[in-house]
Amino acid sequence: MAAFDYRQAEEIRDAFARHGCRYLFIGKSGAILLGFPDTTQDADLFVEKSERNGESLVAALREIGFSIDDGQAFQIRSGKDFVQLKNGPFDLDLVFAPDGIERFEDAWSRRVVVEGFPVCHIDDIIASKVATNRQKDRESLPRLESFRLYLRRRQRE
Amino acid sequence: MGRALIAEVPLTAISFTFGRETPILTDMSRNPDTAENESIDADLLADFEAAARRPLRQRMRYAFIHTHKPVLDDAPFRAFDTTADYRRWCEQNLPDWLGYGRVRLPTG
Repeated sequence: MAAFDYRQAEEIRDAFARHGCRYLFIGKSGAILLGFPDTTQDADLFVEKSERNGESLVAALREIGFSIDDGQAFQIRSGKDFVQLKNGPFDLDLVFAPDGIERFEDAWSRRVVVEGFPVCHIDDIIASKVATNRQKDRESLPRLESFRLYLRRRQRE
Repeated sequence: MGRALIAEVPLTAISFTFGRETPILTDMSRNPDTAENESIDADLLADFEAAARRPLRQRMRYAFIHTHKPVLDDAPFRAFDTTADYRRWCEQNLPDWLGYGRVRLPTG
């Protein structure tokens, strides 16, 4: 499987818009969209947990080539916290309840839009990584915090 | 002040419009006033500025890589009732070197 690329991100953006999906890029993939220079393997989406959004997600994902059977569609609609998809043109994690962020609406109100891609605010990306506290998150946090400082200074200029 | 201020932003300019007029700091472990006075390592700053000059399409080509992750990549679909279940599954099933295990502080 090839790595996730800009064209695929556009496919997510456009299909999700057509189906009215509520989502945000989160994790290191979100930070990269904000300008963070680093590497990652997957795209992570923070998606609003609701039956309606679940239905929209399933329709949009099928449209861009994910093979989601009815049982899997039910699980996406039914309020799971975390869904890992490796049955499509690229790997995608659907995170309905990320560590460190209380409500989707809170993150949505702080979102940053980059070339049409809705992205979690850098504060939310860092808060989520702090709360998750995995080895791989701990290793990237010092650079992410420096990047946040850089963004703040750029914002003031 | 609940009004959203979302706008399309060309990333080549790296200027961002935030969902609120004042960004909310969710990492309470850091004092923002203190953090503002911290310096950015010169090499990191050069990295950030170089990235800011590249278009998003190019940065994504450099950023996203794909290697096979044992166990994790061996099923086409997984769903977990809770995020805690997912974290636990990772710790119990993935090789440590993938880095998905949570950091535990020594006790006592």
